[in-house]
Amino acid sequence: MKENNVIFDEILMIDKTIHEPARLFLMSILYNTEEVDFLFLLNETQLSKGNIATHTRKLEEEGYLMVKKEFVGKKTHSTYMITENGKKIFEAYTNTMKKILDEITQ
Amino acid sequence: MWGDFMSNQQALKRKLYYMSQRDGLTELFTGAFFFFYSSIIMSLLDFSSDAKKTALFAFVFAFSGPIIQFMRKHFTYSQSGYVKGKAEITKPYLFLVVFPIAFFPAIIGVFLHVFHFDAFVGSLISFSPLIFGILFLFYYWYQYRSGAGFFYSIFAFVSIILGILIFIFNNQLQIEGYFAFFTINGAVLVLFGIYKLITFMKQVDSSERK
Repeated sequence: MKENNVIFDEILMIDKTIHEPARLFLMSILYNTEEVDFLFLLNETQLSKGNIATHTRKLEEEGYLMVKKEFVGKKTHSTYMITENGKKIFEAYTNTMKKILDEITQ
Repeated sequence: MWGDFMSNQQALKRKLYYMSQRDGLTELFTGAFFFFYSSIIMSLLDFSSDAKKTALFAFVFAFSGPIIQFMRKHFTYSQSGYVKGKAEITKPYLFLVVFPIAFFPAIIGVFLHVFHFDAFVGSLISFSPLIFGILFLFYYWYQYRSGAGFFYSIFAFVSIILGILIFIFNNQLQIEGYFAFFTINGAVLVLFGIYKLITFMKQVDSSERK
């Protein structure tokens, strides 16, 4: 019973921002790269433009990623990179999830 | 696909690294530099100062990174999406390739002019293809393990074999063995870079048509 409570506490402590599938997908790409642009995320994730814009804005608000905007010709070019805080949160999230899943499947 | 990504971060890292290198610009730049470093700068121009060679090498490498990034953002990856691989993957490049090549002329200079170990310098030059063969073996193998592609595993073994062969036949080649090693490596990397660039641009073109 006590062990169940520990798992339950860990589940409650999961970062809700990253836990959303699309954002987790974006974070895992950003965690494994130095920087990517909008078009790359669009091609890789198969999400819509609006979805990517919404989720990246959310992650930016939480301080998990940084956006660099520059002009290439007349178009705006957005480049995304994970922050140090984002890296720590992502690592903590994957470790917690692994722990929970290990304990549940034992 | 989603499950795969989460269950295997290492595979994702390899895939993303491969994608960051798929236009062949890294090979093209590195190969071109090896080629000119060996065949033109080191032999024809005959720089008198060893420090100049090191300084020139450091200068070129300091600017090649930003140039490659600029070309990727504005030209090669502009239609397919820009991605820059993890810096930790490219770090061994510094320790196994850049620093040894940059400091090799400096080390020779120090032993030749400061300590006057002429015999030691002679053997260092004779052994250089073997030394760089081993370094390049580790570097190419590391690239292969990081996800740069199957060709790198071939390069790793060809590189060490080349180093051994040049070392064995160095009696005739003398210092040219050192140059030959970089010329061959450079030429192979340039050809491979061109092949990758053409293949990549074709892929981008066909996906755009679709």
